[in-house]
Amino acid sequence: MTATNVVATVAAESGSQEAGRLSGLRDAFRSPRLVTGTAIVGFFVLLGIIGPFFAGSPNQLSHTELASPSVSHWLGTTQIGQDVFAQMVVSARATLEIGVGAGLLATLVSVVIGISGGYAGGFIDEVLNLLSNVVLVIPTLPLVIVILADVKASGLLPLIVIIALTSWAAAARVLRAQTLSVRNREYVLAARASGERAWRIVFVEILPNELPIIVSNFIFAMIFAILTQAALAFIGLGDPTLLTWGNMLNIAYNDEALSVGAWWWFIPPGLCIALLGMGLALINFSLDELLNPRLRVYSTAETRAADASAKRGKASQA
Amino acid sequence: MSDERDLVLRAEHICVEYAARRPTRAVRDVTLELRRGEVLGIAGESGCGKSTLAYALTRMLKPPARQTDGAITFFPAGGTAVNVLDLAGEALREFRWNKIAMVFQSAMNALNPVTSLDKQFDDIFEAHRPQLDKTARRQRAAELLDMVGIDPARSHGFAHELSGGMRQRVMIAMALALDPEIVIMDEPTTALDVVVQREILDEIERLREELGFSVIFITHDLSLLLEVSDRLLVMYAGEVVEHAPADLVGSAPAHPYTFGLLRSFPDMRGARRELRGVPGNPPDLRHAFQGCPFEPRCEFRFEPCATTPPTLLPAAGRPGSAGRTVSAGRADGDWRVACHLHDAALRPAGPPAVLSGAPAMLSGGAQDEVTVGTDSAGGDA
Amino acid sequence: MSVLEVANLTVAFGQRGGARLTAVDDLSFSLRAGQTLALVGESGSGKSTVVRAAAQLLKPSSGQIRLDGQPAGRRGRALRSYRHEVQVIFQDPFASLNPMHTVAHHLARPLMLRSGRLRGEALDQAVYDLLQSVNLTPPQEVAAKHPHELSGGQRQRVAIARALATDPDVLLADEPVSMLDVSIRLEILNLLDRLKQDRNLAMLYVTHDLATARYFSSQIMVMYRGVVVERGPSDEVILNPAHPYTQILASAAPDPTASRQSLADARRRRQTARAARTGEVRETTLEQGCRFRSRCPHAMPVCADTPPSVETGPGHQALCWLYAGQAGADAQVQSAAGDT
Repeated sequence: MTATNVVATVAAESGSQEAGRLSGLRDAFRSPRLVTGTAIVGFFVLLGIIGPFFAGSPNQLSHTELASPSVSHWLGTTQIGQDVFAQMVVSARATLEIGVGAGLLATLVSVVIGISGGYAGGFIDEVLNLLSNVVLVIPTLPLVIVILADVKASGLLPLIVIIALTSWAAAARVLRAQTLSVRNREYVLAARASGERAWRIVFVEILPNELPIIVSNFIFAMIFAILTQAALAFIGLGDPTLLTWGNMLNIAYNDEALSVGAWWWFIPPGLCIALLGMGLALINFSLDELLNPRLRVYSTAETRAADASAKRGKASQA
Repeated sequence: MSDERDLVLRAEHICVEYAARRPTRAVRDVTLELRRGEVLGIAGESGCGKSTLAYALTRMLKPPARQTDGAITFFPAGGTAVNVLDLAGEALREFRWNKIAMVFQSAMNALNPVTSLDKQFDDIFEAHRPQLDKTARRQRAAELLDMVGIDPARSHGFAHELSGGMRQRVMIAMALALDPEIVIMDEPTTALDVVVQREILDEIERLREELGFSVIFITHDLSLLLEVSDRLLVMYAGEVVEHAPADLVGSAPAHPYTFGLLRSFPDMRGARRELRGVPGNPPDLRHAFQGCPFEPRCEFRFEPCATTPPTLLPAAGRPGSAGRTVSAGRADGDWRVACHLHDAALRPAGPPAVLSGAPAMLSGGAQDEVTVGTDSAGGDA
Repeated sequence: MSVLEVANLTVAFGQRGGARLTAVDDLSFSLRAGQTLALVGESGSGKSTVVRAAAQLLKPSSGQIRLDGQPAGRRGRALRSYRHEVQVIFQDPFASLNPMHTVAHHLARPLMLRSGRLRGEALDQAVYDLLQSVNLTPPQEVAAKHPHELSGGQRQRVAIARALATDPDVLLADEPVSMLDVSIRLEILNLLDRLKQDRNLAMLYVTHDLATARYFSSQIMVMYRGVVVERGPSDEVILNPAHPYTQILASAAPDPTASRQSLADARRRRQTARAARTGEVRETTLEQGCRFRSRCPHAMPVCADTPPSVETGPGHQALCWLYAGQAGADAQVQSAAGDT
């Protein structure tokens, strides 16, 4: 009797659950924040990938200096006649590379340090925690500036590594706290009781539960990397030959674009930085809604319809 | 329907839904009446809708929960009937806590940890009795604490200084602060030790005798309800499946679910017998049920059960007239059950013996005397 | 013949402010194959700590654990071998399964740990067999589900299946049904009982519910604040409780056979007794003497000394001065659970 009843219920539930999971994704895309954020970021990613094939040469000099936007130059030209639009498109790629690269590396370091410390406890945890706290306390931008000025390396990779190595600490602390909490949950205890080894417990039982925070940290790290690089480029650090939005701003500033009124030169790159940052932030915020069904908001249309039917029901009672 | 002079609250055809892409219908067409001075018990397990119902009665439903149908009428002592759903603004505030108060589930976690207890009492009085000055408020708070058996000197202290049982008493004192006519208690003793639970229940009974409020007592512990309530409702899948006098239903349940639920509380001092609960799992409230929602788990089901939803009928074999007096002064009214087994048209022979109302059918009788729970050979040390 | 013996287990925690909290104080018991020992106590009695210490999930301050007569392995392979033999079922069905993994994963891992060569189809079949043994059918469907798709009762069955996957000799069940709906508790307890009989397991059943403790065990230990205050055959201890704490527990349980009048009388008696007490007694941590004396209706001056364990019936012992008589002056008797 028990068996048949359980069969019936399990069968019924499995049907309903499959529909539930797919519709969850569909539901998520009802959130305007997620849609907007994904659209913005998607646009820039597309721009970065295929844009350079269509935009023309960013470095080509021409004689139409400081021309305002026209049909031949959609965003006008720089002081030496380079096409601003082409520059902007090519810069998108470099900026995204830095964002993703530094973001990934920083997240990786924070995962390793945060979770190992949290799980291991004791002396190892003390040491790693101390390390995190020290790195956290040191102001990031000045630290990066000092390192860059000293290292004098050129190219994308050193920049990515330096930005990453100075920005992992906050995420590591968060992951350590999360791990401290998760390691006492009963499913972790059950895994220990089964005789699982520590590294398997960390990777298989604990890590998957922290994915939401890790993804969120990654997005923050990306935003931070992009903004940091823009700031560095603006003050003239980093590789000047690298075409990024920050560099564009630097050159525009140095060439007095502002006083000349060449808005098409410095507004687009600034706007791009801001928009990309905002798009990433919107995705980050809506992640919460995606993962926690209780925060989901149902459209006012749905609520009003339900209230109307309730009122009709009450009226029929009277 | 009962004589309105006896009633203090009537809720009819209450329906509550939780909004979602597939809404959960948590309360489905529930009707109940609460008489003045009585204890109405509501029994059921997780997901039966009893807590949601309580929130609906006090107008405390929060999105995504939404009442989609029904009427609630409050009959104040010496006043005219009030349509609770029409109340708004000042009138609603006046109704809440003044007329009807609630002691919530895990109420001991509902106390503010960072303000002292007397400040929390102050909050109540400032909101509802602004004419009281500070001294009068402190005095009333001290009276209330004393009334529930807590040393009034502790009112300057904080929640974490009290044990779980004491915090629960503070919650009860707060609920009674404005001398309400109805107190709803949602699992007030569930998180407490069995000893403290006994004390709290005694306290509630004493206060009820002294102050005369009516109680709706909600819990999954049916054995407890048999002791404390006058009448009780058994809820399953958002519906009322049985509505019975508490002192009789324990030995003669009418609904198969009530029967199964009672069987799930083995008598500690009884003879060893086969112990069974209710097989299967709680239902998914997002579905609309074709027939009876309990049917998949029911050991007495027959043809109409899977296709026709049952409605509340008088329970077969019980005196069904209103006004039948059972124990001194407590008229209990009718005994109704939502089950086709009690429908003479569908089952002329009447329900199976265990549900037919013959007393003492529950303990022993129907099942085999099988000793289980004893350990295999090896003997007792 | 005992399968698991725990001797003089003490677990103490240092707290902020320096005071040490002794969660478990000098506790001993033994588990036999095919038998259940019930450990009854309220929240705060230390019963969950006992389970974790016995499963070696936390390190005790002192005490010995012996499995099959040999000292339990403390590290490395010996510890893993111990873990395979001694399994735990936790209280919270929602927390004991990892929300990220399927049921199949939860069962496959311990199966593989036990027998490294189990793979592929053989492994799948072993998973289905386990699910079958706990009445979760059809096993193929259940194995593919995640915990949130199952009800509380189903999850607890998965937890039981997981515990059985390593083919253990000992099962430590920490309040396995207290967070489940009432109507399915007995079903789950019956399942555990049947599995115990079929596989000849030694079981420790921790609970606060005296009724199920009585029906599902042959021996019972009553714990109060880290100390066993009474132990003996289940029927004996519950029907004739000797220790005042056990008596209070037994009387607090609802009695379905009592009439309304007798209940009202009992209530009035309790109320007069309580009115005689001055205010609420805040329980303080008493390290010396009988820990129950601040709540005990029979407290005497001698209770400030640690009471001895006294035999009040065949196999029935209580830690109380009331039964000590002339022998009370002797040092506390070593808990005799393993000797009888």
